[in-house]
Amino acid sequence: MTTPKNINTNDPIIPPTILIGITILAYVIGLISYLYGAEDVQSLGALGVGTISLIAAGVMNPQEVMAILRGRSMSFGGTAIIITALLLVAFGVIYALVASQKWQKDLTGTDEFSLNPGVREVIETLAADPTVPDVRIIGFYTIEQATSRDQIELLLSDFEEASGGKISYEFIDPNRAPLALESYGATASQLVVARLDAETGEAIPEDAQLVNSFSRERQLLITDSVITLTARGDFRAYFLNVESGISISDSSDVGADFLANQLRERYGWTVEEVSPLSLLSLLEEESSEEDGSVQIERATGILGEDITYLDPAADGEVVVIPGGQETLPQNVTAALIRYMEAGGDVVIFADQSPTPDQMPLALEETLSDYLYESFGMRVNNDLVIDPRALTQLGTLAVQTTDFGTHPITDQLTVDEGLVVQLQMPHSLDIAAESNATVLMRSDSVAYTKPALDLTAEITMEMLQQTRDDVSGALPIAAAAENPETGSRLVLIGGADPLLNVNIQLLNLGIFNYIIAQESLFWTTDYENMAGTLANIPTLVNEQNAPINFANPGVVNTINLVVLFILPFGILGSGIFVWWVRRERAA
Amino acid sequence: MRALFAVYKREVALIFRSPIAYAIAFALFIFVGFMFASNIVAIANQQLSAGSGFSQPPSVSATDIGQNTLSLITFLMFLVAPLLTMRLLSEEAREGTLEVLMTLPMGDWAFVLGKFFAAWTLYSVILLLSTVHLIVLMPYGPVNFPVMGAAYLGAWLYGGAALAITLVWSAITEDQIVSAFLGAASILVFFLMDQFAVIASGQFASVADVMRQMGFIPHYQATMLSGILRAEDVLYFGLVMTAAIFITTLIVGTRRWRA
Repeated sequence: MTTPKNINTNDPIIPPTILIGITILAYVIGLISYLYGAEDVQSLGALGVGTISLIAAGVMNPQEVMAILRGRSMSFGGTAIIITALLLVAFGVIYALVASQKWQKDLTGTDEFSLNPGVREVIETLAADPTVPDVRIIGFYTIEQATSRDQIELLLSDFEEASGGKISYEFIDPNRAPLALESYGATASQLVVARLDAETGEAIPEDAQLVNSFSRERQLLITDSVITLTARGDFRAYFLNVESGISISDSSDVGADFLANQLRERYGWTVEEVSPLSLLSLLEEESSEEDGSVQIERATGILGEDITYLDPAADGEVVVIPGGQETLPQNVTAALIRYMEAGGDVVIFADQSPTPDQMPLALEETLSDYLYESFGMRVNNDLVIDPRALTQLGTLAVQTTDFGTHPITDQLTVDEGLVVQLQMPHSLDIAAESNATVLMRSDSVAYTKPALDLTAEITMEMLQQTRDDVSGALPIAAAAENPETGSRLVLIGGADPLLNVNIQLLNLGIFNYIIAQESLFWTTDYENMAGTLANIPTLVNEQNAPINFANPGVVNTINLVVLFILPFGILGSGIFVWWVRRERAA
Repeated sequence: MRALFAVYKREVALIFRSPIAYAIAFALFIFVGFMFASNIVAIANQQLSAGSGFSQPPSVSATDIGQNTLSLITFLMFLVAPLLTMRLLSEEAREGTLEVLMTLPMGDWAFVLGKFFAAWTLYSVILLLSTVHLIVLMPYGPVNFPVMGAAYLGAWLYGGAALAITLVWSAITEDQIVSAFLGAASILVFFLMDQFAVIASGQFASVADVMRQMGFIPHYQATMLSGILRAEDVLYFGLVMTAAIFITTLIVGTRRWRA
């Protein structure tokens, strides 16, 4: 039997090159299967086929395999590859270690990437309080937004460092965790500030605050959110539900529900609208505790909530009289006085009554006498008129930029041009020897008129200044503290600062709202860190001032330099060098 | 060290005596100058328009313009770096002088480092000349020198890393054109790494994060160019240079045992 000529018994059945090809192909398929999350059996199977092919190729060509393994390529090149691989791994480890230390220096001189010193102080104060819960700042950034993420991380790491870890941060890719985005009601590239559950350490989405990360004042916004979430203390505000007064349940322009909601939601206050009759509980039989506190019978507010006036458990408490065109019953007035005698704090917004014979609440005689005697100030039964507003705008509004130095008006004295506007305000009578601080004064050309009949027609003649009218920079708001009782009082000649319409007036530069809010904060000694934030100036580096070309000619000069002198100067130098070398070579 | 310095001196002399370096710098500054001039004219027109009350005045500072210029220069490194390094080792290999140099009493690392530092010196001079763009603006607006200092440091390190990477290809191939193309492609890959990471993030999320950190953009554009100095960014460029030079040294060293 003869062997066919065209069969070489020494040739492998499957050429080694094909086996190597099958190996490479199988490994690639296995890798892709693994990375695409295919079934384990698929990727393992592909890897197995590749390995078997490789072994088969080696078995079919043992001489070549030995030559490769013992040759210089492997001994030198293989060693080099291993060392290079180890070096790259080592570099990766070193980089990761250094990156984790977050050693960085902000050279911009602004507060875009690092904490403003004022904000840092606020954060450090918050962090030092053991009652303040831990907070986490969560940034939702996709990988396309990674540059923005890297930049905001600089700022967030500062928050973490300044707070000693009480404020932590993390980044979540919304493409990978869409449910997380939904649970916080956030969008991509938005920041969320959330409290951490004390037991589980997990962020609580329910009251999380959303922050616009693109705002230039983002660190103030973040800090404001942290303050809101970590509101400390039990502070209470009781708004008396008086006849013709301003209601905190009213959401119209003439209501005050915005202030109430801000106090509740932003600062965590307890805010209730109560019947003036609830004050009568202060006149009931009381017992003195050994520590000197006064235990008052519990009263019920109009909402059915139990109220404890002068509750020693409260960190701060204030009774607010929101306008009112009629006086309180005598017993209620007596109860209010009793409240102040016991150290209670009160803020009174005085309103005008429709007719002169009807006394507004704030001007009630007994109350007024007590206020003057105990605090050195009271509301006058008059009407302050600003002739400029009268003649130019035909209104009885009094605008002022003349603010006293007091915590209540701190935010209004930070920038020039901030205005408070009161409609038909009363002036205040300030005793010469009192320690009252005038918060606001009218313009020096203002004057007062006796209370008018607002139900009748008012003519310009009635409003014209006469010789008998008191004029000058008249006090229209003041604050005082009784050193004996510790009670604090704020009198404001108009009820405007309470109104919801003030939110729209902010756009016109009228900051009535601040007067109302800060009066409540000052009387209760509430540490308004959010207000502190408002006083923190943004760091502006003058070196970032815009460029200013004085005249168009300078642009031509600049272009001459950068388009001709510089590049052609370099080219000329090159030609010169070439020419000199050419001569030498010649 | 003496050998390194000797190679460095020789290469610097060669570079600055060759018209090629001047031609490359000329081309770069013509393009950068054109973009710079366009920017300036646009700002000046906007100022004129604002002066007439038709629009808001521009809020661009001299620092912003300087940062834009540097950003453009670093972007163009994908063209400039290969041109500066393509002949450094390729030409030596092609002309056979590389083997002669190998016989000299110096380590491969000294040889490679000397070449690299020479190229980096040329780039440093180019970067120094680019400060003219900033100087001409100084009479018309303040410059935030700390920020520009960080930006220039970043640009210098960026250039060094780009030069080191392209030097690898110069060592691999004797053909300068191939070396230049591959070098350009490599730099572009590093420049666009964060874009590749975006593409990869859909399927390979953890790999995408690593890919992004390997690119140039996160370590320069986002931080140093904006005036933020981070130790990891400086370290990144240093490690890229070190790794690339190490690999180049190994490639050059293979000639010894290949022969």
